[in-house]
Amino acid sequence: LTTLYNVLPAAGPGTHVLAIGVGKYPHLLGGEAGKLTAKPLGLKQLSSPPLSAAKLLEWCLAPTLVPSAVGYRNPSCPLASVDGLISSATPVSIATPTGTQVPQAATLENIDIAFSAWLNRLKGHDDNIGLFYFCGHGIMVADHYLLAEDFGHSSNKPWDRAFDLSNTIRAVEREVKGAVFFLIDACRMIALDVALTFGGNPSALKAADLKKEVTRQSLSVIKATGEGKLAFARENQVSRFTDALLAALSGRCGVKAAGATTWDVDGETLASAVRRLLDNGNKAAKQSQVSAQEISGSSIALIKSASIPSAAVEIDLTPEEMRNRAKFLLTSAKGQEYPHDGANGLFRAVVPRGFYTVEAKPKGGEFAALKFEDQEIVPPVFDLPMRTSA
Amino acid sequence: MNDLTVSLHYNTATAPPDAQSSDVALPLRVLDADGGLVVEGTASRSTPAQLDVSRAGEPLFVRLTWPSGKTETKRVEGPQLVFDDASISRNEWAAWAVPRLKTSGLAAESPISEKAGIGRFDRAWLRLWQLKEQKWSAATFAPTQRYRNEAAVQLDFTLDQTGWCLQLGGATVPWVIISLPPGGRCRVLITPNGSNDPRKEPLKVVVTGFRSDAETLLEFLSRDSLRAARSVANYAPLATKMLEGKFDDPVAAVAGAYFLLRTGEWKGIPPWWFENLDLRFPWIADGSIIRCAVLTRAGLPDDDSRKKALSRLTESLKRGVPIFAEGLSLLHESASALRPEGKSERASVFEMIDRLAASSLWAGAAFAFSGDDPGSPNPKRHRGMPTQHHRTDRKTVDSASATEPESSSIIMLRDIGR
Repeated sequence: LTTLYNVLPAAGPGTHVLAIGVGKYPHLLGGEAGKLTAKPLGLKQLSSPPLSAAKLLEWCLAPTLVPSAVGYRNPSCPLASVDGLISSATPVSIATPTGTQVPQAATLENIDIAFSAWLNRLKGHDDNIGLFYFCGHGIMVADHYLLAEDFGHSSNKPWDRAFDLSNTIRAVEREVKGAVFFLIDACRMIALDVALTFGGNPSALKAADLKKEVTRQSLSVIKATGEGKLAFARENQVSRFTDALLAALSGRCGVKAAGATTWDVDGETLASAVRRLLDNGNKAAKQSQVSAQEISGSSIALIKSASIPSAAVEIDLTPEEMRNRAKFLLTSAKGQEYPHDGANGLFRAVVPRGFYTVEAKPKGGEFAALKFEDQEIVPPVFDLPMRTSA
Repeated sequence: MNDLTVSLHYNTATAPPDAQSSDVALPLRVLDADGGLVVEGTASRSTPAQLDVSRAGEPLFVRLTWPSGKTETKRVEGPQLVFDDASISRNEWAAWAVPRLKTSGLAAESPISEKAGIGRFDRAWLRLWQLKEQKWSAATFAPTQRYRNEAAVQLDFTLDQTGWCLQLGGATVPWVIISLPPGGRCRVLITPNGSNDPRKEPLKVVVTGFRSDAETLLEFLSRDSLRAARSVANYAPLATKMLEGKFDDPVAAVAGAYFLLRTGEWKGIPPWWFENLDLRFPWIADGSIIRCAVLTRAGLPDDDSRKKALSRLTESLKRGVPIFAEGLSLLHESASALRPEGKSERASVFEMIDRLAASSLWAGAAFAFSGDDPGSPNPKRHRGMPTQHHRTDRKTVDSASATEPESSSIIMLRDIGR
């Protein structure tokens, strides 16, 4: 099964999701005995992509199971279909409104079939939104190539089980009229020598019909990393990019247009939030990761929410002994107060977006009180390091 | 309160004092207490923003966004609000660059730390490259003005109508090549890079061709800040006017065209505007890149149209490299779409584009890349002084190549402004 959800709106546009996670690569290092391809390019099995893709699918479907759950919401373009393909050493199951389902393996043949169905649905209405997510091995050669589970099945033609993302995008933007979001959680290491010596030139999932003009209204391509760089994940955990993506999509970003009643997440807003969240994660990570994006066309919201997006706030006061003797107060322009005792460590809170006054007062006159008025707290993250002398 | 007037008292920042278009508009957003948008607009030095806030409650805030992405926010406390640059820079000559730098030792209020001082890069070198008959040659390094303070050096050039690049390198500075706007005056400011971005180069190079409005637009585009770019572009409407004015300023027209292509508004533009930008200015690679992208996006109904698109792709490489980073993105997009399956007589064209894409570096609106010289982009980074054995034997069927550098073409950073 690749289709996990398919409820086309009676009228109007809908959002169509195709999520692919590939962790099991039988022909790459650590794969199945006797199946190793002649040139595995140093690529190994991955534990994160099946978990990451499953998490994204669950997030999409959550409100179809529990209406109040955090997940995909867009009253203007409700969820219409969800397709998932997952290749994992251990089967991954997804809860859907019709019961628990185990997505099919992400072989190139299955990806082809699911992509065709997704694209056909996407073409069904001029204002449909498409979301294409991939997590797995990727290589940047001339274009960005993504590897299906069966990559390397033939040592003579290893690339015929990969696909060319760049040209797939060129094709899709000539087929659809709405908005398309490509969220790609894969490495983009440069391998020009690979291309030259290996005959690497995989096909797109659909050949771009160059006779057609570009018709999409909006295109957002957000990639886990920049060209020539690696994407990272901890073993058996959701990847850093997907974690940031889901946080951003779950109320940690959004802008409200003049006169609007909802907070919208378009490609620009999402890309900016993902980058900021990754950047924040880089502080504690061994390897830095910076996402990359290509945003073009009109601003079309992937998510619309009635709730004000929230930001993770971190306020510090140095030196540490003064922080221990400080009382912090965060006061919104609407009067909401968030107090914190510095003896309990850094002031960390999750607060709604908006304007705030930040204060640090001494408990017993140990330092001069600090006050920062009209600080704009913009999701997803707000840091304010303060310094005082005793 | 019904109307809010927001003024920019920016005397030196946003544009060099003698810029062709020094009255650049910056985007403003009036926000409510939640950060929701009440109304947006733009303000320039000559034209304050007049904003209708009659339907909004209080408090209100105004956020001004600089091309670097840095923002400045003020609370609305009356019908007039002023943003000023009284303390923006320690030297007037460098103030224009501050809005393009997210963090900078140039800002007047910042004490210069050792890390922010340009002095620690004194042993870095600069080299100027010029495209002559489709070959890159090292040009005599002859700036018309040189400036220096503790935080930065600045150079002014007058550049002919051909491709130009500036190359930097050193023991602690991986070699980087930055495309310069040709056909007139050009100013380059070099300062230690204070960004937290892991992609950052040790030195930040900010380039102006004295076209502040065009460059502001491209700075926003380079950061995918389409909302800010749209605000700026809607002021006039700027992008279409820039493209229309190609015969007066083809480099600004390139910026306008890039904006229109990015936002999808190119479809409303007469195709001969793009054709003229391509054919009438054969010294600008971006003109051919833009035309190729327009042809490809509009659909290629037959072999002739495909050949035409391919010929513009090829032509763009003969003209050198894109002036702006946006050009590389379109070059790559067109190459992806037009790349034939199997062997092609234009294989060297696609290989060159692949190499440019693989070698590209982040430098804001300007196109920057790594390589030995502008004709030999290479993702492998070199450090140290330039060597004398450059690759003159490369196949250069369709692209510009390089000839040996002259010693007068290299200058050490320590020798600038002293």
